[in-house]
Amino acid sequence: MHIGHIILISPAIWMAFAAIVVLLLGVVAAKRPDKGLDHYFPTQYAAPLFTAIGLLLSGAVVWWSLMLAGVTSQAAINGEATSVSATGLFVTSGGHAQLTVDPFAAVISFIALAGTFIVMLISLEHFGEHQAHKAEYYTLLMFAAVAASLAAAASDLIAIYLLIEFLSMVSYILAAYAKTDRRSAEAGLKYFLYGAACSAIMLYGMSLLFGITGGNTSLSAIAAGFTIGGAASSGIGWVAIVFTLVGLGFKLALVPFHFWAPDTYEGAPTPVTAFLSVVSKAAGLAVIVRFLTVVATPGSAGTLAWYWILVVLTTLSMFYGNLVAIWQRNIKRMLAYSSIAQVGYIMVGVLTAMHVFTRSGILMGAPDASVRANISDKLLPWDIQGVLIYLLAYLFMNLGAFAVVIAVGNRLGSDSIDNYAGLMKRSPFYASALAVFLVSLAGIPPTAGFLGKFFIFGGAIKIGILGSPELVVLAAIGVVNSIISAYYYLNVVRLMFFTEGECKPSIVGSAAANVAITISLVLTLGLIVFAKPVSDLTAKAVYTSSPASVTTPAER
Amino acid sequence: MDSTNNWILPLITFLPIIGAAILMFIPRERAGAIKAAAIAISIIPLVISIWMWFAYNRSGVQFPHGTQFGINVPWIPSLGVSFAMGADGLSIPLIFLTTLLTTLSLIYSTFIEMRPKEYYWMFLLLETGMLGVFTSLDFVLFFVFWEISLVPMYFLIGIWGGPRREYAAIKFFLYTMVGSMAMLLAILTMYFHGGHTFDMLALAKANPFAVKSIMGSLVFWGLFLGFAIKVPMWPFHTWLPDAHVEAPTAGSVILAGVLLKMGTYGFMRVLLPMMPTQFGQFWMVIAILALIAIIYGAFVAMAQKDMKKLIAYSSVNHMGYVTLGCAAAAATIPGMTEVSRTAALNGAQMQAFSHGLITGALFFLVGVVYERAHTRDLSAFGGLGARVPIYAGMLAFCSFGSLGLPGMTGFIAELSVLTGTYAASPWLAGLALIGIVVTAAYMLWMLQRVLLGPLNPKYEKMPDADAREIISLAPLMALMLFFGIVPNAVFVFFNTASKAILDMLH
Repeated sequence: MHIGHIILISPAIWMAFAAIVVLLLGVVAAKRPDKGLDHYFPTQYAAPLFTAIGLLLSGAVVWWSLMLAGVTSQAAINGEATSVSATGLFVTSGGHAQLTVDPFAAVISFIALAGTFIVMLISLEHFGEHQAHKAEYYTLLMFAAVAASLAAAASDLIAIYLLIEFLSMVSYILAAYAKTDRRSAEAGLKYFLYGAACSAIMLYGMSLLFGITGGNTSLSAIAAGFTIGGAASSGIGWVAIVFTLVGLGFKLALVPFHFWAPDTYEGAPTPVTAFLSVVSKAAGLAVIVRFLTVVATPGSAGTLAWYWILVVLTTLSMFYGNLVAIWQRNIKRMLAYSSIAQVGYIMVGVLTAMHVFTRSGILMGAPDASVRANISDKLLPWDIQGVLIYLLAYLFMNLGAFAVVIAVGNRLGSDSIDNYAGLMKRSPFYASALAVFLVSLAGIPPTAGFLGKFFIFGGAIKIGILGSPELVVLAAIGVVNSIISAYYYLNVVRLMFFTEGECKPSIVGSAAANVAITISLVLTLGLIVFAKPVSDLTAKAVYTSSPASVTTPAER
Repeated sequence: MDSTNNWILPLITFLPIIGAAILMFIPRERAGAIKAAAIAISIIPLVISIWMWFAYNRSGVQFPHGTQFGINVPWIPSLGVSFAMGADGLSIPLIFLTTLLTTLSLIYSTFIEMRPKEYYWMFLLLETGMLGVFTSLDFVLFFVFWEISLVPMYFLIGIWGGPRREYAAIKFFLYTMVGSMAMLLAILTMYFHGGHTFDMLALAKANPFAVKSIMGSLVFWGLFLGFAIKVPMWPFHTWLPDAHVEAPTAGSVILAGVLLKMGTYGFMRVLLPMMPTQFGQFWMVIAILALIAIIYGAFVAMAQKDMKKLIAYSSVNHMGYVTLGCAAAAATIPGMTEVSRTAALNGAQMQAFSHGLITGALFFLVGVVYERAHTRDLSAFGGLGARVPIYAGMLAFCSFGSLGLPGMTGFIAELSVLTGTYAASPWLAGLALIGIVVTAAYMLWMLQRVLLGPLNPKYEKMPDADAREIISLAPLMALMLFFGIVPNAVFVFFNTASKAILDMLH
């Protein structure tokens, strides 16, 4: 086995190490609760500090992996000289990597760590100074970040399954973390039951894939095996792919695998909800993008049954999430349903990616030659790049919204939307910030959410008018849904600004919450100003990524 | 295009929002300082726009061949998005109108006591959005500003509006958003169809949909919907009466005076030069919709008992002439001369400009009487002419302007539109005349009900217009008269713009 550039997973290694340190800190501190270590170096501050270091490392890895992208070298694996990609880790014979930290994975990993960092800040606000089992809480959060960060790079069925399960397990515990709260226990249990069922189905799908492609676990090997002997068009091939997608759909809370989401989101401690809605989904999206583009697009996307199933599910997710969100009276539930719709928008970008990255010959993960030939300027990105930009926007706007919800909910003791009436009087900062986040979620310029939708729908139209009208229809549906969503997002704005509510006491949150909100606010408003670096980076990340890590796109 | 970048347009566009940022540092309690600062800030763009009016080279280069005061800085080069701005004969009068009405609205609004900081903040943000729409020459930038102008108006209606303000605000927002989203899809499709550029100059030159096609029609109607809702054209007008009635006075002034112009500006900046084939193909449909707006708007206005609603419906009627002029200019009729097309398009621009002055003033006047009487019910008034002579004079003056009295801007505009339309289709022009007659009727009837007859004893003590109100109104009335008598002062702008746009039609 060729290990490769282990430094590419240094953020995950660091986070795992730091998580253990945090756990030990907690153990030591528990011995002398008042004057001990915790007094000088409180665990709840250690965790975000360590995560910030991990975030810096992760930023360096993005740069590093851009350097390494496309570089191949010869290595002796099991005595055979094999060509290995520089971004591949733990490469086995045949050049198949188990982890591929290509720029796409590195960016998603960065998003996951940034999300975890903000979640930690809002956890400080949510739980306050005297949190029970705080070391365990932050340790779990950090392990979840490790899993999410690695899942983005997973390019082997075993790695995918283990990391998704790792992330899920930690998430179940986190959802049920407030163990004295019955709703939190219910949230954890429900999440666990659905998760276990979906995971079992996914595992079955993966075992079928393993079997019909000649006993391979690596995505690149499966991709090669998938076309042999009509495996892709066989009934078993169909079942294998669809079953695998069930497990990933569960992570994304895609309709109809969303049933856990509203109850879990409402019952779980709010920072955990924020984590599930952003970080956990980012990891799920990374895996589904890799799985779909590398393995599950053996031919033109339009000829694949599961492509059409996903088209339908994407449409349903958008409509269902938005139409149900309209009726919610609890802001956490509203954000839960709206996040189902938000994933629908991102899935439009993923479906577009299936067209762009249709496999031609053995060139895996490379943009399809026929599609590229139709695009006059090869530097024009769009496409799947929208997924990354939208995730980035979603990270800030959704976590920002949750941060305000936590700060306000903590002071009011309720998450009912009605309590937001007249918030402008009680806290102009929170009301204005939440208004910006909601307007951004609705996709109205000049916010980050607009930039994301612009790229996603632009990419769908771009590929759609080359002969896939369903993508144009999906873009139109997405746009219609933006209008529907504006209705309920603005309903909160209306309550905060237009109606009279209680004027006092004014609401002042903790410094940690305000930092989290300010970071999110600046980036939600500022992303469009920095549209050039953001689009350049994401374009590079997408086009220099070679998910299968066997061959790099020849034309790049 | 100039090789050097001229920063005057970014300056004028972003000055208000920089001013808004400064407002944030003034304590909430110091309302007087906030108002004074906001007014002072808004005067700077006004002065710049007056300077631009005179500095503009009237025989110089026009959109789409190029622009003056141009700037083009790469923004997202990989997508062909740039920070491109420019001004020409089409936009200079509208930029002036925007800055003028904003300053006057801010002066008029000094009596606002409820949350003045936010109020002035929103107004300055609104000004940035409106100026951005009129100066942008890049579709993405244009769209961003188009939406930016939507948000503050939503707050202005929702916070400072009348009793049904929440309903009116969300209705306004959702209607406009439907239009903008259709527009966004159309813009993206045009982008991928038209050589991967968002540069409006390049798109107009390229004429990406020169050949009739289903795709071309879809894009056309997508853009049309975005603009038509804003104008608003019948049958997309139903948000307008609600928004106008509930909006605070200054909000109505800006809504009628500038925001509606953004719709017709889109017709002339985007639809005519970039999609001449489709405009020619569908000109009759648009003309008929415009005609319905003219006649329907007039009759519905006549039926109103609420003074503000009457003015609101008169806007539907008046904006109908603008769209009618655009449609006539694109008429695909053999024998349609260049002179008639130019007349129609000049008239359309003049009507837009003139409607901004006149209806802006009328909404101020409605506000003046409403703040005294706390009602706008026309049947409650009567005999105010003798009680408040200055007010009565101003109301009569502006109403005459609205009904198209010769010597004032409205007359020239409607005459010019109808001349052009007559060449395209005599019966269209003939039917449009009904609108003019009915407009005269309802305007005079309104004057009669407010100013003449027995005085309602409730209003015996009503004070006349004060200095603040006169200062807000006098410039508008002076301009109505000035441009009515010397229309050429502004027609030179319209004429060069029309010529350049009509060049694209062939």
